[in-house]
Amino acid sequence: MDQVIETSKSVLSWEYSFLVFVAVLGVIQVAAANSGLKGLLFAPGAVRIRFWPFRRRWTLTSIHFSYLFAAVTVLPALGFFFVWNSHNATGIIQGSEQAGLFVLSTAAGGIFSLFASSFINQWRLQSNKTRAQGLEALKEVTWYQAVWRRWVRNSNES
Amino acid sequence: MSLDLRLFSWINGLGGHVPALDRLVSGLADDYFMIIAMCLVLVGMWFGTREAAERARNQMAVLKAMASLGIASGFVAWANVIFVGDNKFPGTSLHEIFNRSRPFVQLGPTVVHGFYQPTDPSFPSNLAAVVFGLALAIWLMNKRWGTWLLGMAFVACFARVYVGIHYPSDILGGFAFAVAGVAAAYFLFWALSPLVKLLKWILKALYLAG
Repeated sequence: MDQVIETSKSVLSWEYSFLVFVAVLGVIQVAAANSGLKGLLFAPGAVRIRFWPFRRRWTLTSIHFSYLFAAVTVLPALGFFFVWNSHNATGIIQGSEQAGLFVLSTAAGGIFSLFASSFINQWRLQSNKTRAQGLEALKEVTWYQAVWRRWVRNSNES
Repeated sequence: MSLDLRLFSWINGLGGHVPALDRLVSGLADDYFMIIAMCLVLVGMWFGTREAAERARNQMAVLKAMASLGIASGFVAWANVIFVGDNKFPGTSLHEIFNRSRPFVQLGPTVVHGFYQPTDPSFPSNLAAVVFGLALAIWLMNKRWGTWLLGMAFVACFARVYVGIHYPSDILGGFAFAVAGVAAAYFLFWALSPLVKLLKWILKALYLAG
């Protein structure tokens, strides 16, 4: 019996972590699109698209993509949390564990976003001129490019 | 009838008439939903401002909010360790306050609308301490986002009374813990300002902040 309870707690923790991870990905995309951090976007370009049966073509920009992405990540995740107590009547994750899982999942979501966006944008963003520091640099380069230029190339040159 | 009980009866009395409304409010009172929604707002604030200076200020507010949330929650846990239990300060008002049963224990299970019945004491509301700790810390540095977050915190706490698992005074107690948590967090950030500056420098050097 104890083992069953432990297993279900473990499943709940994974479920919680996964939902937070997914929601964080969506929030970062919307925030990055709104603040112009192109280096953080998963879909940085714009495409013209025609939705059947309409004849008109729409231009989908990175902001549209980010909101679409958020709609399929943040909203379902929050929906799950909205009905959590009614689905898991005894599914309580203790406050301290919850805080730890949230921080870990948010960090995982942030790190995944940094690496995935760096990979997706590595040929698109190639600015050599940026002098911006911190997140501001991600308006012109990817996170990997920024870190590599500052910490690897500069140390090799010196 | 005390003001607390009258206020509880009024808010709780709104429930139990429309099942769909009870389900909606029960979702808002959920242990996870509002806290996570508010924390996601913090993630958005971290990345989502066009001006670098304003973003840096928001990031400082987010760090303070996370600290406030943790400290306020820690204060509640600490108070529970000190005051909750049959042998803790028996016969005193502190014992009465911190060991008070949930409303449905005193008033019957009919006051609970679509929510599970927690087994721990009612006072203070841990959720109120956490959500108000977070919202107040942001409000002190960013009125626009802070007001939204305070609104979300208020809705979550109202919902906890509506579904019948807290008295209004539990929420007030949680709010007091939140104020103490925010004050402690701001003091810590002031006292440890060289460390905070170092943390900011590290995050900026790693292109994670600023």
